[in-house]
Amino acid sequence: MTEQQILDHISRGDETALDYLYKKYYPMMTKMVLKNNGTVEEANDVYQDALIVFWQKAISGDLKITSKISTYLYSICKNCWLKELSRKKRLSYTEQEGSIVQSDPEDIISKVVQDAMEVLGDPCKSVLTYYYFNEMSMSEIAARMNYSNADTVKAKKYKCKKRLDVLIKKNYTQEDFFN
Amino acid sequence: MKSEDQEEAIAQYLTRRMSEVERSAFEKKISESPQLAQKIEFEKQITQGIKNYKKGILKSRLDQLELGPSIVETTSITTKIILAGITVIVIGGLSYFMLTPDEILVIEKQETMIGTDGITEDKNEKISLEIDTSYLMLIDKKEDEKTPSITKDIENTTVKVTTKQSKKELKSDNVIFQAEVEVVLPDMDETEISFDVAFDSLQDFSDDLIKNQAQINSVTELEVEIEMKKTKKLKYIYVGEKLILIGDFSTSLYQIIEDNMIAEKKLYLYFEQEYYILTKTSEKKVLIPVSDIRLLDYLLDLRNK
Repeated sequence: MTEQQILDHISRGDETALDYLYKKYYPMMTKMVLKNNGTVEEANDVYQDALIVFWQKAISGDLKITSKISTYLYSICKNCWLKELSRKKRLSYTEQEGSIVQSDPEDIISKVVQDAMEVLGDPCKSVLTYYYFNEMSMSEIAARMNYSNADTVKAKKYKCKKRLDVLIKKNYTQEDFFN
Repeated sequence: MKSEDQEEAIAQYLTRRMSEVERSAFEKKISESPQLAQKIEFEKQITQGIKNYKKGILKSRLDQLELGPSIVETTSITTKIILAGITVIVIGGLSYFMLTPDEILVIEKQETMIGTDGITEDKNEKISLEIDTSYLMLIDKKEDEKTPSITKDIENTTVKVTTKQSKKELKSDNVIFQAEVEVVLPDMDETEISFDVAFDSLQDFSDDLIKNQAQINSVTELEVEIEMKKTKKLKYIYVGEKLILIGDFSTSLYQIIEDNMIAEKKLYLYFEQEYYILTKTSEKKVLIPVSDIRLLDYLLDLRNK
């Protein structure tokens, strides 16, 4: 597959292109982490994060790529690993200080949102991920999901988001209460 | 502003769907209303939550992908010992030769000489294959057992696998390909090696390679020998058509990649996710991993072909 073909597949949301890229660059990208004091798990994690960053940029049309995919991916990977290293350093410093590491409130909300998305189910799940993650336009979502037009999607998205908000507020108060 | 319109505006703001003009007008509104600012802060986290949700789905998709033993480092020690005895040669960056699952099954039946017909994808020419396997002595002799195993007494055993492949009826020169691997296994724990496990991995790996099998188009004869040493440093000697790899090569598969696409033929070694350039040397030379990203990319393509 040529680089352009890969990008075309991504822009169509074809997730097999993600699999293809993952396998293709696995040794090269994970090696960078492994060589810089990372474990196999960390290497996998960082590479997956980097690839998803790349995927999201490519799918939302936010990618202005002037180099080869591998070079671009490598630089994202490197940044992700540097970020992770500094997070680890901060964490070990906090542990030395003896303070209790508390869960990040953002992580809690994220978990609540994820649970709510599962409860929500399809088609809301798809409409919302297409809108927020893929950053697809209303007409693109309409075409992808066989809705008659962009306005239908807009109304659907509004209803789905409302339902999600209700679920989140319900769970978030509970979560809040338990914490 | 109606509640629905405000919701839409927030969503557009957070997903960068606003134009520059709309954006600065909206930001002005936010600065004037702490209530709106607070709402946006909360919505931002929900947006991030939705993104993380999708990210989680994609990550678990990637986790489930089979990378194959040639990519994943964590193959079991049982598999590694068997696999270490197999050399893969890529001729012209295109051709792979491998023991196929059928041949392995024959080995399991303890036959010493095997003639197998294989067909290349491009020319449908027959390949005759002979496998001289003196490592059969390692197989547990109990014939009744369904899973023969290599037992603990493989300590310091010499494993020798010789593979020969000759191509007949070729228009130009005959192609004779030979890979000889000699492995002296180091001290082993009392590990019992299940052949089932080893064969399964081997089959996956060879399936992968067979897909990539292509036409043999050059004359090559390379003899690879392994000198097992429990050291971290990997070294090699490469004289004539003989390559001696020195170090601990029992931990996983290695591949020899021969690049004939350029004027001067070049050899590379792929081992444990690293690529090494092999240059002619009669003295022991330390293997230094390739770090040039362009070359890595090139080699990656070569391997994937």
